[in-house]
Amino acid sequence: MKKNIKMMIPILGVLAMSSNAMANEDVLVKITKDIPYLYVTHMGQKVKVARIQDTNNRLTDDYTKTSRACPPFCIHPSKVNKDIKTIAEVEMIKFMKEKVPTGKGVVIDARLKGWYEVETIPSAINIPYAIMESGDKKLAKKMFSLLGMTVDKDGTWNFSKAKELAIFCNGVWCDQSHRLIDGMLKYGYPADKMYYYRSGFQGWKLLGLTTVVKKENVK
Amino acid sequence: MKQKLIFLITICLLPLAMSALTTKELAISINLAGKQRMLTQKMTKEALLVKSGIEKKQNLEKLKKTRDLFDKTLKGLIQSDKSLKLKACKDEKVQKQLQRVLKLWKEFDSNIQKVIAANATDKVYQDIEKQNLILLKEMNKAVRLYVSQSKQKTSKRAQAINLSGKERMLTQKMAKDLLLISQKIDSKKNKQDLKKTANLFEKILHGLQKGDQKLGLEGTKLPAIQKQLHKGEKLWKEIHPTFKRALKDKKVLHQTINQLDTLLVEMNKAVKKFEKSIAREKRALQLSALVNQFMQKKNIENHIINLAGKQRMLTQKICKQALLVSLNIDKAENKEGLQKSYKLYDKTLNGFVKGDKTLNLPASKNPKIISYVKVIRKEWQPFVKSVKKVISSNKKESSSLSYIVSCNESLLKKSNQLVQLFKKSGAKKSFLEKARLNIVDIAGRQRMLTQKMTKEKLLILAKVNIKDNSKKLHKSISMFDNSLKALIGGDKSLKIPKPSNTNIKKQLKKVESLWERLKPIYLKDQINKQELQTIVKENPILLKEMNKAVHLSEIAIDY
Repeated sequence: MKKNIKMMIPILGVLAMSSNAMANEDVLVKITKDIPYLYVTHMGQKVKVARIQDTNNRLTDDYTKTSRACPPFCIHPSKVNKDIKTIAEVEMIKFMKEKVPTGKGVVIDARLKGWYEVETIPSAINIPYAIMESGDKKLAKKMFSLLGMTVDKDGTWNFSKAKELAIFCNGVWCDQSHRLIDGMLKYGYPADKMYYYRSGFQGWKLLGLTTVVKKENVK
Repeated sequence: MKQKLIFLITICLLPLAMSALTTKELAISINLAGKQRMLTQKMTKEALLVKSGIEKKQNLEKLKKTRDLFDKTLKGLIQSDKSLKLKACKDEKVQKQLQRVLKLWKEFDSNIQKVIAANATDKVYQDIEKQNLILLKEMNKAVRLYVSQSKQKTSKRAQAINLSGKERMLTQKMAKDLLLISQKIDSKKNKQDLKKTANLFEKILHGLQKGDQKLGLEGTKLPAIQKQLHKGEKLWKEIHPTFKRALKDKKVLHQTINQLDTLLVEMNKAVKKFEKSIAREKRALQLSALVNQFMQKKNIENHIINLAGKQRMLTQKICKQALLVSLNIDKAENKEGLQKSYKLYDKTLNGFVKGDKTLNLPASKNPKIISYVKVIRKEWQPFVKSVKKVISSNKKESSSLSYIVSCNESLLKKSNQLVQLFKKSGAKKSFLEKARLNIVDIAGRQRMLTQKMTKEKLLILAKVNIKDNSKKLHKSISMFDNSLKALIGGDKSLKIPKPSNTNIKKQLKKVESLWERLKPIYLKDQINKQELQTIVKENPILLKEMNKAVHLSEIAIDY
């Protein structure tokens, strides 16, 4: 119980928000040449997404690990499916900037809930891959309805207003995105409404981008 | 606790009752009921504009439209209206208040109709001026009743919809007050009203942005709403200083009223954004509830395997405790333990079929499992009869003990078969899910082995089938040894991945160090009294620690 009500706090965002007045040119480590940072909403809270400004910073956590047993942790090809676009950080940022605030898109963390609760990308919501993999059509219908799918009078699932999804998991060695995408496709979610962020959480962290973590996990 | 939370979330998402409005429907109702307050002021303002001859034709048209909209919305709030996406709220208090508003509206409307028909006398305008505030007050009460329908989780957001909606009304009230003052109707009172209204408008606007405890506002951190409110604030800062001049200059008055209309439009946009944010929050909550429900179901599978595995241990524990009773070792204590063990076995067996809340066991719907439990029960009934005899008798119950000793392994075998049936049931499992179930099964089997080894050791000491039991004991020791090594270091052939979870690793190490102390004693052909005592005392500790490891494997996020 205690764990579930803990506040989510942005790892970098908290520091970054205190220097709101920081002008574009004052940002040493920008996201891109033109984007120093951006704001998103995570669980009703405004979060500033930026990169760590300390140029001596090094990762020290689990995401520095180079090798995990394969299978199941095998390196995945750049494409998850021929019709699904693979994206990198810049496209992900663009998605968060343009699609998420307008309600047209949702960032999906495909990992199991425990991972999501420990640390995730700001604005992401959690749909663990296992839901689509072992769930049934009824569950898929519920899930898709919450993602904007409507049901026509004749019972056809209508995806015209369904949201675009940017899906990620732990990284190139992680198959949780693949499995979620396979499950979504199995029940008819359109491939052209899904994007695969292949570098995933490891790629995100490697670039020092803001993550949100539970307060209790901040050391 | 986790279950409680899931339950609470689910409850939050479900409509309060069949007749209650959903969060989205309620948000729409609060918005439109709130808008009605504004319309009372807008109608009054437009009627006054007609009276003062300012853009008479346009204002007559506007008045007619406003009147029609108020009428349509009020009917929609009472009876539902698809075109307005309004669903009637069946709450008795809300309906009663809406009927009160309807009654007032009929009186007010008859005067508005007279203005529209160009039949209005000064008395009509005086009545409009008096009635609009009463209508506004009663409509406001209705809005508050709608807000009180919202659940705790979203009540602050509902209050934000209410008060941002109220801002729309306040823009129109200020315009109306300006007109009344300019026409020298109750100037003193209306000037005070105008000042009050302007202050309230400012207070709410600030509260919507930064929060206000007294108003029940938490402030917004949502960028889109912040931006919209900032727009409203900027406009307000331009309009407010013109009030004084507007009272002296008809042209400025006209401009100010138009600007207040623009402010109304901007505040309306803010209301819509609040309304949308409630829908988004609801969707996120629903998704989270779906995920929680699903994950809970997944964890239940591990839990069932754990309990089914525990049944194997109980068959051995029962036999061990019966032997200890017959050997007069801690007799009273072991009789008590024996009673607890058989009751737990019985309770769990029933729980597999009927479900058991205290064990967090759902009733099985799998016909194979239900019929296999029947098979076990057939064997369990005579077995438990013998156990009860051992407990109730003060003498050595040789025949009952002999029955327990001869039948416990068959019961163990069947209990193990049930574990395998549970493992095979349920949805298709992935590599890691299968591995997790396997770990819970094998770690669970270790608990049984702790009891089996002690039972076999006791049988040897009691000189019962020494050769046979000695062989069995060595087999149990080797099985415990190998499984423990597999659990600590991983084993491909057993489909056990090496644990990465620190707590699990720590717990298995603890079991290992206990086992290292006990193993040589189990292996000894002859043991002294002290060593027997060590086994009797430390065996339950080994079981307890192994049980902790099983529990950690059952609930750990990653393995």
